[in-house]
Amino acid sequence: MKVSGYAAVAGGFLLAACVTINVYFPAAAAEQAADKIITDVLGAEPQAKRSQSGDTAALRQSVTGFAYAAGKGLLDLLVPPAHAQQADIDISSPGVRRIQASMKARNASLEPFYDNGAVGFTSDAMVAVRDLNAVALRDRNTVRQLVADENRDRDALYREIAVANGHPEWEDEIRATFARRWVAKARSGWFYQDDGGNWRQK
Amino acid sequence: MDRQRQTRCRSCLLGVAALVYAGTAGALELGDFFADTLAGDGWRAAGITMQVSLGNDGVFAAEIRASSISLQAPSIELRDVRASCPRLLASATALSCPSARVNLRGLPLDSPRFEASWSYNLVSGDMQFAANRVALAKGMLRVTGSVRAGGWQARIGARGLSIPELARAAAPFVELPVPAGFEGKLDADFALAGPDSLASAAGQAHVYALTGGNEEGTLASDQLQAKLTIKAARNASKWQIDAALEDTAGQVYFHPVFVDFSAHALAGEISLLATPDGDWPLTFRLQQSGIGSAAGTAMLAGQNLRPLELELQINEGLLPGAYEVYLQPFLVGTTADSLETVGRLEARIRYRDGALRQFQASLQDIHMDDTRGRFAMYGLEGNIDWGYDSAGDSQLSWQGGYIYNVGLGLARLALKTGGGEIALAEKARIPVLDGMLTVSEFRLTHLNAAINQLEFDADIDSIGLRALTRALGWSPFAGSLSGSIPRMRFADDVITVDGALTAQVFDGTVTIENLQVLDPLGVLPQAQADVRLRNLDLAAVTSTFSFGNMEGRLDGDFKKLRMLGFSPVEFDARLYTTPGDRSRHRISQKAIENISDLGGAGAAAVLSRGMLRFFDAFSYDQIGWSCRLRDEVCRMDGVAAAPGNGYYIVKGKGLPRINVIGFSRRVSWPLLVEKLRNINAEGVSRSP
Repeated sequence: MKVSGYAAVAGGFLLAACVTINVYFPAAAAEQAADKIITDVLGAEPQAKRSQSGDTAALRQSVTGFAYAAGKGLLDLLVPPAHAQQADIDISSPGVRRIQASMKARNASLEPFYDNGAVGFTSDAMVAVRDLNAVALRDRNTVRQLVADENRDRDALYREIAVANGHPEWEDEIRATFARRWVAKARSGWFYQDDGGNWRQK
Repeated sequence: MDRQRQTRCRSCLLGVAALVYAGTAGALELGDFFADTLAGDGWRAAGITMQVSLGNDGVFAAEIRASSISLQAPSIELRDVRASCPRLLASATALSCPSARVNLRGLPLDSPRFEASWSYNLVSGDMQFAANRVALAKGMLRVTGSVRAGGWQARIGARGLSIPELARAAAPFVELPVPAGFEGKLDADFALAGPDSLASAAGQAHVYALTGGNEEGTLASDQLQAKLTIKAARNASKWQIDAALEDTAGQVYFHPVFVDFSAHALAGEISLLATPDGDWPLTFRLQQSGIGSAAGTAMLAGQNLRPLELELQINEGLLPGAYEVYLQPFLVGTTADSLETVGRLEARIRYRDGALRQFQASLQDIHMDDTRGRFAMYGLEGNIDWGYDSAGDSQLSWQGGYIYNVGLGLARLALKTGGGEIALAEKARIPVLDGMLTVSEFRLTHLNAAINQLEFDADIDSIGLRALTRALGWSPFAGSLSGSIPRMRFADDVITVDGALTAQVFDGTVTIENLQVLDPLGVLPQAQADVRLRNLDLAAVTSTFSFGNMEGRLDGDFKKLRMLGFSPVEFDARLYTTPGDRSRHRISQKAIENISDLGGAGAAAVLSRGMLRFFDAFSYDQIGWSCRLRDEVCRMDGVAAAPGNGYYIVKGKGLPRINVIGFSRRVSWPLLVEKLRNINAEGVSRSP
């Protein structure tokens, strides 16, 4: 009974994959790509923290990983490997690297404002000024400028990843993936917006 | 009527005073006097007792108490009023107390006690009073004044009053414009006067150590200080108010503007006529060090003090001060948000009915440099005349500038500026590098909308490729670019060229179609296009490209070309001998070596080394090379398949026949570019 259930799910997935092969969004790969960029931009976390939900996360990861592997296997069957590889998320394009470097360079200036809650991560994978009062008068416009620059980079990053991977239509999904991963990778004490747009402290 | 009531009040006071006098003069002993209520014009006192005693030194002393004293305007209820006068001076005409101690409740004072003095003229009814060391709002107050038949006057001196405490204390009577969250001090000296209610006020207020901010962080100050001199006079119900501001220091953030008054001291004058029902006309004059000076007139809506009309004349705007303090904060997030500026400007702004009606400016020797290196403009001069519903004539000129690294020379533009449109009035010639860009149309529309649109038509004349390629960071090669840029549009951060952009290069043509430039001045400028090369003279190409001489004609196609900045990141390219070309096909030894070398480790030149050394050049049948660039990998192919899974890049002809066959199918693009650059650099350094 159980086995046939899995089979039905797997069958359903394969069927779905067959039909939607051109718009298949590699969620797990996108998540890994996002993590790679975010970790690089934010730098190493001062001390590694393992959350209680780590196991569930790992499980979810492996399930998506399986689904992804199954999808990829199927793709390999249907189209030549060279094309199937594009279902991966490539973040090595010169454009992505350039934006990533620019964000990484800026992060040192932004980090104190993540730390003191002046700036937080928004639900649409951007940053926003959350509390101007946490910033000295003289620095308020600097922070606004930093936020504007960071957002220009982030907009360009999501677009460029989609375009460089040959799927401009993936931009929204890439942005959504990044939105989740920025929050996941945010340090303890940093602020982020939940789906309702309310600020929460991690 | 008022006059009568005043008289009645005065006579009742007189009655009490006479009783005191009679009682004390007759017996020289203690006497107590009571009154249930006493009332005058606008006041009423109840539960009054007055004890008069005669001390051993022959001096009268009085202790006056009232259980309550009510005033109508302002509405104040004083309770437990006690005034001790240890030295009551009485004569036939006057009654005075030069030094009294007053204790009362009902005023928002820090302490219910203060010192006072008064004198009362029994004949004229004139009264003089003083209150000293009144503890108010953590500071001290001194009030002196007099009441005469014709009116009253008072002087108030305040020292070290806490501004929020003062606002709290004054709240029952008057709402002071002090936002919550601010601390600060106030010294003030004011003279007030009136026949009945307040009719004139003049004096100085010195606000200092004003620090704080509102909850949203949109208004904040740090150690702000300012001196205000105010003169206000009432005529019937209208107030004429003149104020002067000086001695500013400290910092303020008024979203999004941050001003450090210690660096940019502000001084100014303002005159306004406040009417209770009508609108408020005002004139002002402002001067700020390092930023400039302005003057103007405005009309404020009486109800909410919003400007209905404004005419502002900026007599002197100094850059970078004016840009850094007042312009840049509003430009954050735009292309002009990180400029280094210097220069001067004058401007005139007219605002009416919720819209900007006229903007005139004169720019004087302005230099601006984008700190991100995207553009620069030097020696900008001109007059701008923009009208909301009429087009004015504007002129702009500059000595030079840059867009990215492409240098622009001296140019003058005549423009029609008005409404939502800026358009070129006549053809403009802009030197670009060593060539010329002739702009026949430039029309920026939808200025009032969120998304502007630009239409642009121009011809390019003889822009040297050596300079252009160097500016764009490409391998430098010679030649020149001429052609036309047909209808180009710019909207929503995308430049689109409708037609084909053609240029004559190396005796052939280059056609660029489907050109789109995304985010041209943004983070990641990108361009997409299909490029067609037709009938290029290889001799001309190679002679300037120091690649080694080749002769013949060349066609090429770069389809789906995508450039990031000025570097190609994607294309499907094919270069090949022009079909049907009957010209001489020759390729030099050096070119063959370079082509072989470009093929990388896997490419092999199948040729006879022994024979080669006797020939400088060889004949060829066809040349062909293709590259599909993706992810920095070039998938290469040639003109035809060659034995051993290779491909012909050069297919030889005649004798000695030479073929160049490539075997590498995947080559690193950056490596390929590097090699090309080296070959070229070598060539450039070798050639004079």
